[in-house]
Amino acid sequence: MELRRIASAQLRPLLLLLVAAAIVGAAWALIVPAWQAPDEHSHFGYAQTLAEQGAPPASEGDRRYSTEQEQAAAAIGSDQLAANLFARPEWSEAEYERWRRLQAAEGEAARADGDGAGPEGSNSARTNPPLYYAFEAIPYHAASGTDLFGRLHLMRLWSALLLLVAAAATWALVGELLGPRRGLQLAGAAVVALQPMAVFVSASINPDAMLIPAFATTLWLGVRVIRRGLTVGNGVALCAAAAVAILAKATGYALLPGVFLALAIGAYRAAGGLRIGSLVKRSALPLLALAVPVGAWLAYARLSDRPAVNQVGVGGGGDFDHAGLFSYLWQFYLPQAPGQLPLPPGYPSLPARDFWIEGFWGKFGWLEIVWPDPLYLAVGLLTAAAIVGAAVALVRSGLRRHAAEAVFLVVVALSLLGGLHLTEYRILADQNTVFNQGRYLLPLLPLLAAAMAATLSLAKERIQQVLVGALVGFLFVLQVVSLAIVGARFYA
Amino acid sequence: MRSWAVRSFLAVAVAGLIVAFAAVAGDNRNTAFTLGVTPGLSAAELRPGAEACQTPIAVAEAFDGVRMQVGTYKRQGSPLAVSIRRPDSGRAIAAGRIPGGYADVSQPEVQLDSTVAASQRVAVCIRNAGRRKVALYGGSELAHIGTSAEIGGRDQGTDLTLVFIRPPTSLLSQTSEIFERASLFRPVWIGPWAYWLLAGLLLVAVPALLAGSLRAAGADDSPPQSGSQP
Repeated sequence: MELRRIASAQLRPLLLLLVAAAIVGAAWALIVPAWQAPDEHSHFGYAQTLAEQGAPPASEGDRRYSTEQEQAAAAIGSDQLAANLFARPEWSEAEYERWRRLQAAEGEAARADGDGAGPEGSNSARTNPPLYYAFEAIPYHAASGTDLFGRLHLMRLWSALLLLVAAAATWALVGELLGPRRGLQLAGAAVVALQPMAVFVSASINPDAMLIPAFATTLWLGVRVIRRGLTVGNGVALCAAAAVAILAKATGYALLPGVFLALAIGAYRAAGGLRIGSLVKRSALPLLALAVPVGAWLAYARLSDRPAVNQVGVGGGGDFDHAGLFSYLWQFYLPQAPGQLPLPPGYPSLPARDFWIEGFWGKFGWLEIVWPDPLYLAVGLLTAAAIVGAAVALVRSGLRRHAAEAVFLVVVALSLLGGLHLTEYRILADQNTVFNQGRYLLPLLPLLAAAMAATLSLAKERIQQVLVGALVGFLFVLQVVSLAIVGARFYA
Repeated sequence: MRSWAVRSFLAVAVAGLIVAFAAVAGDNRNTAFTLGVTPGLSAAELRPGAEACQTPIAVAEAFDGVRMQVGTYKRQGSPLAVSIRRPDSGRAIAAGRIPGGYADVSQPEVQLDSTVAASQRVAVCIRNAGRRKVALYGGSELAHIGTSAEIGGRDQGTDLTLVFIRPPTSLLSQTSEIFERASLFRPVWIGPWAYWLLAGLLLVAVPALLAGSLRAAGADDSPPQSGSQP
């Protein structure tokens, strides 16, 4: 009883934060018009096909999306609205009633005739693994008695819950890294729970919503395995979290180098030295927890003749141009140097700022809704301060003592970042188009949150308290401003 | 000392909300509704005396003016006579005139002689009342399904860029309207009340919860003991 009381008191800050975050998530789910989040039409189409037909979207068929989805999208003006600041969603009650009569006349068959591909092409999300969409099939079926908008919005609300899991895992991650310091844990969890882009993406239908908690959980468990040594329990949990990420989106593969590193270090520490037999024995079950579900998906994909990941060719007819890659990376983060070929038209002047700061923190709708510039400057400075501060905190706390955890976290970050750059460079070489989006970096948000908490830990207690409160206040204001801007863009 | 986090939270939150409210109160907008057509091409070329109509248009909100984008081939723009009509009978509902002399690729507005009520279908017709040809900007007819641009009754395969306007009002005073519009195409049980409730929760309950969270964290917080983790 006493233990429960203590646990309850210790978790109270987190629980209150999660309730606040749930309200914010509900606001996002209900303010953004249907399909006005990136690729939401593709993801809804995938989820509906899976829920109605029991299989992911096909590569060949008669209709890319269901009749029901196409009619609803036309009624609300979804396609013309996407990224078009001239357009507004349909405001006419008469048009809404017209759509209701139309969908009532169509009946339930109109839900199930979208097979993933039609004359206009296939569903762009069809190469994604099915886990997130299966997760979304739960609210889809739960709301099967309602119209499409009833199901879509319940799916959004359900998806928004995933960010609460990410916030809780970040709370645990900061606790594992910095010790049980509730103020710092709350700061870290709040960064995840209230970061505007993370809430916007999580409260839409998008598998990125599942990646954030999967990465947060993997980061927490990876640090735990390294610190406490590998056990069957924490190893299986770590690998299962990584498997969830991989089965949500191929981006999850970026966790593998870090997970293998954590298992190796954890096994080494648990065995008290380098013993191959012990390493194999301790890692066997955890690796099975990873290999079985991922292997099952790969086998299914192969048997059903579908790509298990998005296919990206190698530019230049198979020859990898290392100088070109260097030039691309340089210009992503720095101004173009003399003699370098410029990036294709469509790239912003400094992609790192546009994608990794502005797109990561807050660009909404189909990225056409932006903040006033000073807010981007503020979050950019905050991000830079967190990265520098975390490095200082690491050095101060003893670099050698915490090298293993630091290397693990850096490996995860660089694997994701490197994977995104390599993919973009290949697409650039093949198709000359932009690939990266700020939201692709959201899986690293828990890491940024931990870095902010570590930075705050450098301050003396009173200053620390002030900074934690100011950080949470700033995140709250960002939420209010973002929701107001989004509401004005669509409805004023 | 523990309440420092709560105090700084409240200071930042209140200051931020004041700035945000001031911005919303000072942001005046006059859009009644729009067809949402991006001005990407010449959707209708009007020789002197010719008339283009965009029809039928469902009037989502009452309006008393229309804004369009006009190309003048680098000369002074011709006067344009604008009339709002019933699509079936052609009976005029409202009319207005844009005087000549506007610049090339500009967005002149016409003030109508009466307000056009919501919840009806209309045709917006623009006649070149000058001596030089002009081009009305718009997009392909897929830009807004169910309506199209016509000249002399012939479908042009395009949509005109038209923005329907009304007297400007601040964003803050449009809150009720914004919530009504937002509640369309939602679950059937959602009405404007849900947005009022969410706004209340967002502006009162969320900061209260966050302040409570900070207070609880402060009451329980303690740096790690020496020798434990950093």
